[in-house]
Amino acid sequence: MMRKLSQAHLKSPGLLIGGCFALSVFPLASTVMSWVWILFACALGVMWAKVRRKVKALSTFTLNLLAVFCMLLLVFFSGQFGLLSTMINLLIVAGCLKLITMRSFADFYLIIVVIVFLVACGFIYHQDLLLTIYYALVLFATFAGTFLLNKGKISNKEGIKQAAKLLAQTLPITVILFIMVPRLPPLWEAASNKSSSTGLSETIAPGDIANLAQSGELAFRAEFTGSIPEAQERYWRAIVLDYFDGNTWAMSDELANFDDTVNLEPVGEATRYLIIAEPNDMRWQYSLDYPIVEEVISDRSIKRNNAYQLFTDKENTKASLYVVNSYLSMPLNHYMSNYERQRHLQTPRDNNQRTQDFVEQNINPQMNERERVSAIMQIFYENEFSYTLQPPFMRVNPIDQFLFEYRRGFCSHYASALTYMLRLANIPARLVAGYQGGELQNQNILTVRQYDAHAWVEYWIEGDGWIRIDPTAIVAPNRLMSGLLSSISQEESELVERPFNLSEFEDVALIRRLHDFLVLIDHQWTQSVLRFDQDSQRDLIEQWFGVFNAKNMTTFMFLALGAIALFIMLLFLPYRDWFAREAQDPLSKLLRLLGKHGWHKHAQETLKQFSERIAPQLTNPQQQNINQFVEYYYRAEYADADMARNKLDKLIAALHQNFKKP
Amino acid sequence: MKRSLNAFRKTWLTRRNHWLDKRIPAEDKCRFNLNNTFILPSSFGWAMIAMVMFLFILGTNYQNNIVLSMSYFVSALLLLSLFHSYQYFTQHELTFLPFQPEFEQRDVQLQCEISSTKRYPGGEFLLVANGRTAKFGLEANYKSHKMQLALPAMKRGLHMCSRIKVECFYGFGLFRCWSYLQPKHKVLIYPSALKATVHLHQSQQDNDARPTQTSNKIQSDSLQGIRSFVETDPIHHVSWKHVAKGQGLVTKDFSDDAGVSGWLKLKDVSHPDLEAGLRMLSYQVQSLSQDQVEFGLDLGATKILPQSGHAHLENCLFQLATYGQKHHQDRRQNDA
Repeated sequence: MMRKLSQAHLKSPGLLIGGCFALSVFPLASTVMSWVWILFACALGVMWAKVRRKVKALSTFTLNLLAVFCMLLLVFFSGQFGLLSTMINLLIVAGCLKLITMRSFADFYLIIVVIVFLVACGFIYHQDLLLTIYYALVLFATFAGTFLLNKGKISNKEGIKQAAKLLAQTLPITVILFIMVPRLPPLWEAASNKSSSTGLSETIAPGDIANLAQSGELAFRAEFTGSIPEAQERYWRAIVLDYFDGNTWAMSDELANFDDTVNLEPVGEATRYLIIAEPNDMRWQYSLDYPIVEEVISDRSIKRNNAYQLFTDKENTKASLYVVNSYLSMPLNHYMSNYERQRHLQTPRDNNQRTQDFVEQNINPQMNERERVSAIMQIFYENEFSYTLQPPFMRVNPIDQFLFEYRRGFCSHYASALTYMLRLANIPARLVAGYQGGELQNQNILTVRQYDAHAWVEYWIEGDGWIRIDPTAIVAPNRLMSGLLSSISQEESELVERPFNLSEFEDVALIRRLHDFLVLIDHQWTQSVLRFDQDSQRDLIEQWFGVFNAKNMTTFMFLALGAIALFIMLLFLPYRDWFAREAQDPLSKLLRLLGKHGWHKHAQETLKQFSERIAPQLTNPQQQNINQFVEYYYRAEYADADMARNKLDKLIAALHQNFKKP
Repeated sequence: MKRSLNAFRKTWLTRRNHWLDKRIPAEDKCRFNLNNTFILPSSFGWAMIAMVMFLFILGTNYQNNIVLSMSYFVSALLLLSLFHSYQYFTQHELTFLPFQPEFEQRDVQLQCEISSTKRYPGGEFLLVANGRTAKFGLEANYKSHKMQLALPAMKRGLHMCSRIKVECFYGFGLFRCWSYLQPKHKVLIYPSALKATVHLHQSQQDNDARPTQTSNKIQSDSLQGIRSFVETDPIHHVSWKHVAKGQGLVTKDFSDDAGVSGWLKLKDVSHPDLEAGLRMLSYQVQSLSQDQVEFGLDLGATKILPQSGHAHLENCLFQLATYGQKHHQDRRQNDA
């Protein structure tokens, strides 16, 4: 049986749902294909026109044709987009088509299902607090719209009030379920985490990081126990790339080997900090040199390899928390095997001929290693290089083109060119990618975003170990001191997606406080909601029961279920009737009063008969009171109900008085 | 295939109705409670249950707490909706109003009143029977609310009405709360009128071969004159022409039928089709009654003595309607 929607249904709940659908699509804007936007606009237009009665319903044939056409387009474009984004587009298309048809209740409900799906997809991309609040409001409006559909003849305002009441009641249960339901590991591993802008990738071609630099996405957060190192000291190592094929730098397999990892004796003062890393879908983690992992709070163990890189054993599909001690001043010096040395001298000779010639001309075998390094660095001092987010595309001989033709590039250009030249000059060298700098949130919290991504170089000097050298520093010293935005031109800085940040207004005390407060809230949100997992559950049980074991776990579950049951009982048991109505009813009050004095009404007796029966035993005023009561009571029952209540109560009070008097 | 499906459906319905007769006996006033209320997720509800599972898997696989919370939220909503729907439904009381007698081939109006103890304002109720649906939105403050549903035409006779499905989707439409009710009031269906000439027998005897009146155009044929109006005269015999001329109220005087009392006999018309015969009689009864002719009705076993008036007409029609039905008593008892 198909229940049809009336014009009134189309108007208030329909428009509301249309609006919610639109609002749930906007946060996914980056994944929506452009032709879907057109359909989307049409759907909203048609919806509006339908409510205003300006168009007739489309014929089924036209709609089916449109649907088939849309599906073909989706299939056609699906290759270019990933599976998830094709699915999102499919959902949006389905929602749009249903908005255009919207005839029956079933159509309406389908749109609600689509909205819930879209919101869930949105949460896979982003989970920050503001967006969560936004989506919560959208969901609220959606379900309020659903309520309005069945509201009957009450006003919209009253309907929304009712819906709000019912929805608010779900929150305690949601919270209990959130705490109680055991967290399972992923059911299958195929699901790789999606984020609209990925972090560093495993290979770097010159220019790669430039795209990354336009994203304001959070990479990780660091909470320092002591003071935070200076900006130019904050080189967050993520990956070390030691294999070059002439175009692209990659990590060689040896780096994934942890067996012969050397443990250096720490020297100097330690900088201690906690890292809360966003999922990056890769195996590496972030740290300052030279890192010793003190504690891993999330469930995956973290190892360090020979290149001082931190690794987890599996891809980080969820956030990781770990505490690191870094010894910033310590040299990265360990015994280097001949094999390792050869690996770091590997140079493809097929392309980049001009660079090879250049190195050969400027180096002579008598020079020691340091002299050779400074001879090579001369090229950056003597020529006019510039730092840009939009480097020209260099395809065939990337390093030649960069060094001698364009001389414009991003940090990865400088770093890969320098590493290549150092290797040509017989100095072992490698490319390090990671993040540099970071933004102070308050006294000891630092946020590092994707646009802080950076690449630099390390070369080996026998006796001193690996030495960091950053060619970008020569070209754009500001990049290290105060971040990316200060080192690029005004126009380019507009490319960078910046998160809204109050820290720009830190001069005003109030705003600073507000900013600190928001940072705190955000931090709390991340810690207590986003990071709530098996371990948190475990901690909670330990906190409440002392030990974590099967028995306590079961008790915990039963307690939670009991809490839910109790809550439902509170809501639905007719305890109001038990206590309130029976006791407040004037007749039962009277009967109770008379019962106390020994007169009981028989079940078959009417009130009138009863009062006449007991009349002889009463005093005059009592009789009067009762007679009046009977009269009012009948009038209230059979005529107008509202008038009598007060009077009846007064009569009972008077009767009370009369009985008290001797 | 379709036939066996239909047969299956029919068996199932019979079984169901049999079970329902035991579980929810016919009643004119019905308070919804645990014994007569059914509740199951609606199709939207099922979709949302699937959604809970989907969100749970999605949230688990992406280790995404927010998606998991969404899943918990939807389950909480489902859980509470279950109770709210049930409570809403059972706060109502439904009273069926007596059916008005109706002729064959015409829709029968089912009328009922719904009243509430008013914990939840508003909401909507659906009445479904024989593939027809009527929807009623309730207001915030009401004591009782009338609902009606046109049931499809029924056969001649005095029947129990089929079971009426009373349904609501209160709350978010996640649950369907319903009950199958059967009013105790019976539906009385008169035979429809089939035009025929009036055969009025002078006597009740079967061997009375020649009917005295074979005309259905009494008024035009036998107008005899006019006389002054007496209070017992039917109003449609007033000669309005004379009234218009200012001659006062005068009645057209008919010669033969005045005071004539005769018998209508089923035997005359029952051959070959009984139903058609009953319809013809129905017509004759109505037309004679309109003309205020005194007549009796002879249906073989049942005989009604000659009389006139509205009550007589109803009685005749009732007998015609229930002719051949085994268990019928006096119509007042059946309260149709």
